[in-house]
Amino acid sequence: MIALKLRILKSEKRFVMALLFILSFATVAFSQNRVITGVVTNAETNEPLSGVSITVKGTTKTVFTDAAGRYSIQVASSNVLVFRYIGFYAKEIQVAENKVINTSLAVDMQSLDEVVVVGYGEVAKSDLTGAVGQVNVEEMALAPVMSFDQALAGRIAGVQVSSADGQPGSEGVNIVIRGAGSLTQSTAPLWVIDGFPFEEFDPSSLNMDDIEEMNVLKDASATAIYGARGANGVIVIETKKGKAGVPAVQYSGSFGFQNVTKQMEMMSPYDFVNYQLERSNNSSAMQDIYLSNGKTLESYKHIKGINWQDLIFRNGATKIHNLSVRGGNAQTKYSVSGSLYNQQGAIIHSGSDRATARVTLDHTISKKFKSGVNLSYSHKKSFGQTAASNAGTGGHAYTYLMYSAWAFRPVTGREEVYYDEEGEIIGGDIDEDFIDEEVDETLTSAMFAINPVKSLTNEDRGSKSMSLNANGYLTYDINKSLQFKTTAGYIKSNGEAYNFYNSGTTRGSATLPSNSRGVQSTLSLSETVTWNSSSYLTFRKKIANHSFNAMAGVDFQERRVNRYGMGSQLIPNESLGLWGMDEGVPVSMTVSTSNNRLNSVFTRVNYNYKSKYLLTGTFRADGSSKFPVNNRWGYFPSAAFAWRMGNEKFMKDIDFISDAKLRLSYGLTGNNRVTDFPYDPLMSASAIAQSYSFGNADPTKGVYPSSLGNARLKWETTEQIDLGYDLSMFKKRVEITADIYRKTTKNLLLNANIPSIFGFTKNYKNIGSLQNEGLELTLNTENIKTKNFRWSTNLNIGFNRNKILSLTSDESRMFSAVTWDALHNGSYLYVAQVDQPAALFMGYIFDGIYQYEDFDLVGGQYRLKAHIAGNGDVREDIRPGDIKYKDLNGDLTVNEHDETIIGDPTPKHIGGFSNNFSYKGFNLNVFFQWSYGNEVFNANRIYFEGGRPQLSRNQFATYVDRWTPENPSNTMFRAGGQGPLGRYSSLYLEDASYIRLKTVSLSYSLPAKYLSRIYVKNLTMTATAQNLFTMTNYSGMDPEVSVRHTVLTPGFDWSAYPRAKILVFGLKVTL
Amino acid sequence: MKNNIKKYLGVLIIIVFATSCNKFLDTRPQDLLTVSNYYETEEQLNFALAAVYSKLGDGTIYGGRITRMGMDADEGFYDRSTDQIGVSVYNVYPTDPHVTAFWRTCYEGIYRANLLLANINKPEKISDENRAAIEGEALFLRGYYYFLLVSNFGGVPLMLEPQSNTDNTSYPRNTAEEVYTQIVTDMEAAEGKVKTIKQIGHGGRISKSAVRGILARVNLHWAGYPLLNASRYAEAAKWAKMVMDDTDANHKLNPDYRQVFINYSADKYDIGESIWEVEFWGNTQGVYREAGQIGHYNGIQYNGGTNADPNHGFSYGFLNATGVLWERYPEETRPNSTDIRRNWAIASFSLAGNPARETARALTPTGIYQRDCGKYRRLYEEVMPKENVYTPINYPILRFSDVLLMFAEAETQATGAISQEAIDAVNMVRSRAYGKMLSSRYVQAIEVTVPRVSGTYTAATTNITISGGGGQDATAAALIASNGVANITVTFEGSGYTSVPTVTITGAGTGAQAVAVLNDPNIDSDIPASDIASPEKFLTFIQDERSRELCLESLRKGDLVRWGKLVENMKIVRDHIETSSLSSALDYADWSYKNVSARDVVWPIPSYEMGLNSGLVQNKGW
Repeated sequence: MIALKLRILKSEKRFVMALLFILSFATVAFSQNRVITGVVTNAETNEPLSGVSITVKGTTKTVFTDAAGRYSIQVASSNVLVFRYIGFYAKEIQVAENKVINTSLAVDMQSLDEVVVVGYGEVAKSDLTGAVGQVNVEEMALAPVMSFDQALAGRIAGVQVSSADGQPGSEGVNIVIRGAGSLTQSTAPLWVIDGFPFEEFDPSSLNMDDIEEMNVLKDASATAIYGARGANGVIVIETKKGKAGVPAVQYSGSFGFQNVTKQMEMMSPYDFVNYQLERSNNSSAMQDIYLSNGKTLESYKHIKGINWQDLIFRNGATKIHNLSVRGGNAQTKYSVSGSLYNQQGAIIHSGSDRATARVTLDHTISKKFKSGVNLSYSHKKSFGQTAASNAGTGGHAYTYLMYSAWAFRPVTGREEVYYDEEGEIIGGDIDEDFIDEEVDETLTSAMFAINPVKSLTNEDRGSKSMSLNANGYLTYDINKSLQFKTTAGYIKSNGEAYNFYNSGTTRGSATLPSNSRGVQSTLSLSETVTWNSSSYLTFRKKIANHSFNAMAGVDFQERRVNRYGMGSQLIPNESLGLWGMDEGVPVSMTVSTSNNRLNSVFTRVNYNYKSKYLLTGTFRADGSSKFPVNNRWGYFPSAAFAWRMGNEKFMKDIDFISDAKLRLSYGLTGNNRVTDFPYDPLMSASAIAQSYSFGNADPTKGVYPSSLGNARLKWETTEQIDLGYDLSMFKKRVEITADIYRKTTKNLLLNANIPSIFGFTKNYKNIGSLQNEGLELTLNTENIKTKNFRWSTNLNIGFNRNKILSLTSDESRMFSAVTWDALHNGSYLYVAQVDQPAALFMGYIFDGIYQYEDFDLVGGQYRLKAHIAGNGDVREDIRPGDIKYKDLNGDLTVNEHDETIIGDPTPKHIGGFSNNFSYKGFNLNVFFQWSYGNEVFNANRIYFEGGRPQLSRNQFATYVDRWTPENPSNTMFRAGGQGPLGRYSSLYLEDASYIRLKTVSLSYSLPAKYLSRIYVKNLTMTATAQNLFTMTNYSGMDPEVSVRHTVLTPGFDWSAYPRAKILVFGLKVTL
Repeated sequence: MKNNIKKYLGVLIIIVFATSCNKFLDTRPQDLLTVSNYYETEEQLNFALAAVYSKLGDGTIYGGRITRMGMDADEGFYDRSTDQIGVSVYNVYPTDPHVTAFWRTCYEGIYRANLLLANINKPEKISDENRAAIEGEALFLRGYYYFLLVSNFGGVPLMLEPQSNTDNTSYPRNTAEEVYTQIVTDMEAAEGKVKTIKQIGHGGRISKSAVRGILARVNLHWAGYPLLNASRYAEAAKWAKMVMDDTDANHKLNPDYRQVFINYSADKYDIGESIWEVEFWGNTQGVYREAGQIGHYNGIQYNGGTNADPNHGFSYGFLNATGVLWERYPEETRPNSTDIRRNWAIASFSLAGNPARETARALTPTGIYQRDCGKYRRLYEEVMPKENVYTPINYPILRFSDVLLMFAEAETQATGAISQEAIDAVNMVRSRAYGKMLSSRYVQAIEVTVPRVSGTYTAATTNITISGGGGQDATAAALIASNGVANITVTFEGSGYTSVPTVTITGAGTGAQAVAVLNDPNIDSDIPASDIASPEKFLTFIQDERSRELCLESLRKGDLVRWGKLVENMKIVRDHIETSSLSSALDYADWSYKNVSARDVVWPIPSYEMGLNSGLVQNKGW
């Protein structure tokens, strides 16, 4: 909620370093006889306090201290000044005859308690009954990334943040709080930005520098106030607002580079040619290509070969600028901020940039009325080939970017070698021409593969998004304890995605036989408008030892999405690019609109007795247009109890314990993430392929049922129980928070598989049940705290176990496939089964390599011994060196009946470890983040470790060690020994546990004494690195990868955009 | 109490808003129609009917995939070494994506038909005749989709209503007998409702003739393995006869076997011959995506690359003929057979270059097995430009010659005796095969008289020109051996010849000579007497005749299954390959024939269905 808050901000301490001239914001309302000045300091540290309010008792006249703690006010001698500052004891001083009143305020240990923003209000941290994780925004903002979600991983226990890969601008960040609560529907949390809930929020539309506070609501006590949308957890973000005092002007900028952390080691020219010859049994075709002009295999030891990875990777520049001005007076506070972010991708011709602007204004209209507005705008653009998406049309693996970068051959056989006088080879060429060939000409008839450099250069693909967010509030204090607040918001976001494939691209090339569309392009636009209105009453009252805080209100929301798309093919003038699209033949046009509405009533009651026994009860009723009339309304209650043991006598007697709290909560939340009209059977005419031509006439439009509908659809309900303990010790220098929880989702809104005898294979149903249970631990310590040196640590770890309790009525298993390559698309890699996690890898168990002793030599032919199982190939064709799979059912062959569970993509635990060191002006932050125990299926290795023997495709260097008669490997099969194609086996499954040095930031703030002369309050220089190094056993480019991510298909690696490490240097100036 | 104020206010707010709430939440889709407000006009029924038809043309069935699913059994095999597993090489498994998709597409068609049938009486402004026709077509198509299912999977769950409640997903399989009963019920009902083929004017829509002809086929399958319900033979004969005797429709064979298929490529209709075909349209260069992959998947392989001959469409040539099919035709050792169907169905040449050049295939076993299916030739497509992978070629489901052969078979089976009418029906099919229905003649063969005098003939530069004789279009290609022209393959026989044309051989050598042989219009094409010596012999003959006439039209596997001869015939091909010592480049040719076993008479019920529908029982052996 947008609420007025005055509280200590750690960040402000930085500003209190400079001495500046004094500005008074108090306007002279009526004549007074003289001016009083003074400085207010912290009684403990003697540091000046900025933002202290000084009120003339009995009037509304108020001024604030500036950054140097100074104030000035016109008063009469008879007046009494009241000094107030949150977290400190208030102080009253009689003006009398003083001209200067310097004073100091004492810290109120009890009230120096953070206020945490939760749904529809805020609550003192000590009074929290729910599990709420607070992100250390300041630390997170050190990361030189565009969007905070890229820096969120490892910050909060139980919040799993992973990204698909490193594609700039579309990293596919996936945030899951306390385990996936759905199988087929979105598991993304609900976002609440300045009080406005968003089911689909683009984190990159928010500048990290604008974030004041970010809290993750995890248990039902905290999330149930969001009822039907709370089941996936809620992330509440408050943006920075203006503060009374001198305007603070701040600029920060950084500049740096990013590049890939790793290249895959490919075969050398010698090994490559050797493999080609071996693979083809020394065929004359291969000899003609590679062993012409007197070259022998040995010659290739002297030929350098082209490193395609060098040609597509680069140092990409990263530029970040943030500028803000914040200030205000007692009546009006403002904040204006803007940012620019520009990032060149680590792959050529890719990158993203973004601009944001935000203005907030809070105004006290009268004693009873307050209002405010918050306007923000962001514009984001990203471009470049999507590495993990298919650049072609045929669904074949060889049209992917990283595939072509790895597979393109290092040598063409056309290279010259140089000899010395004795005829010894002394050197060799690089085939420079080959770098410029659009396709591998000599190989096109056998296989189509486009030059990765050309493809990157020629493809014009990108997306833009713009969002405008306007919201405002009005509060009315009905009386001292009752407040009415109403808010309204309007969010409009526009998206645009375009693709232009000219004749030099994989998709637009005329050399690709299946390209029926020639030079082609698509353009799609979307427009999402959401409005929201919320009104509620808050009642606060303290009677003796009983405190009440009750709130009730009503919400309305509507979201409408319009989409427009067009496509064009056979475009004649490709030099015009996208703007020549209208000259081509129009192929498709889509327009669609859809909307949903939500109406809710909600209430929350907090009660505590002496701040010792705390009770919270919430109730929300949500009505959604997504459900049929009879099932529209869902009811979501929750209750929580907390016992603040720290306030009990027996605890107070224990010296080292500062505070302790036991929390218990239970409640129901919901999930409504289904399409807008899932209950209605719909007819569609939009797919032109559903038409039919009668008698060669223009096709008759086919209108067909497009969804089955389910008139009985209703809310999905998640029941969550949480037991938590907060312990604070040694004067709050050690703080531990532990939570255990169990989340059971019932009536799972499942886009369920149904037998296709119904005419459809999917139907939304409330069937199935899923459970997540886990443990979260957070430890915050201040290890060293001296005047000059401070060292603090945060460690958090989350364990979550996910289990399917039941699936669609008759289904005990649900198979899922990933789409990436025509050969494999028909095979299943994942299974979801009852009593197991939502996704497990399935496939064949790799059982080594057939060796000579497995065979009998019959008439010069190797024949497998009778008791040894075949691998699924025709038995007589199996040779020593071929791949062997485990024959599970003992039928001496390996077929689909021998598929089994081969691995687990879910981490056993995840976490983060952050250390902050400060010494005088120096500050060092070192942040590690890890994931342990998850496996990744590395599909790249299928293609690059001999699994798909193809003409002149380069391979990983690891495949040099393949089986040969001289090298009886038991891990790498012989050239051509891959067995039946299209299989998934445990051979390619790898442990992808990792610990990553995610962010390291070193900063130095110049001493104030030098700065005051140039009217600068603060000047900080920083050097920051992101993804500096990663410890892992994973053999691929990066272990954090999931290019086909869904709950059912996590942890799949194929042609992922490599994750970059970023190094930036920055400067931060506060005036 | 203040508390009460809050409560009252809260309650007030709720009351105020709740009254408008349900209205607020009443949203309706604005860009999609709902089932409840569709099917209200005749036009809407027609659009819905088009969508029922559309599933036939789906890529998973007649749109192309059916040509890669082993339907041609002993006649053709999948000409790629990439598919070691899967339905294309009879190495089926229950998760096979193409089998799964086939099942799925059929049921999607059934659902669309069911939904249309449930709403058929909704429009008021529609003539009884048109409503009946739409209803008949939908009923028939539902029956046909069930026929595709029952003949490939055995009994399947019968869904006869648009079922939207999916809470219960346990639907046991109906028996095959029940499914056939339902199919025949639907089709017989349709027969009284649909229009005649003359009214329709083309073979792309369900006509009375189509219904009757397919009823003959359905009844034949019902009568054969596995149900062996012999009483259905009489029904099959009855329906086939009804097509033959329909003087209004006036079905008759196209006099030129080749023209039947040229018509499919050229988007021409011949309702005398082609009774029902799946329609494909256009070249995907416009808005519609109604083209298929017939002629691309199962055409004569041609990949001209970037410099392709625009007259010859690109083709993968996935479907090759087996030597066993080759040998079903006479004159197996000669490049051309007196039965013109062989040279059409089994392409005698390969294509390469621009302009595309025809190179004769060798007469060795390898040369035979390398031959592509030649029935669907992209050369004759008239829609230009020819798109690489999509073609407008219609796919034949029912031709009149099939009806004739079905009649002969069914009637003989039903009566246990051979009637003259049955013999005449078969002989009619055969007489066309020998060119006897044509008013003029064609170049049946070319005999080399002098292979070479001097110089060196090469395949790449030797050209055969056929001129004079009053005819046109005949083409031929030479086979070179020992530097000379060993023999000449007529690649296209041409037409209109009245006298023997001159054959000119040009090339790097000199002196080679050859003479053309025109077909003999008086040749005896009738069934040999020995083959009508008994009903059994006659039936065996018909089985081979069906293959000669209807090969590579996705009918063979179904025929072999109903005759109980699938495994036996596949074994014949395996033996043939193994004794032919094919080139090692063709070592995949025998995969299907090695892999096949008794269980392959049906496909497995897809795992996907098995997993979701506890009522299903898997087929035997899977």
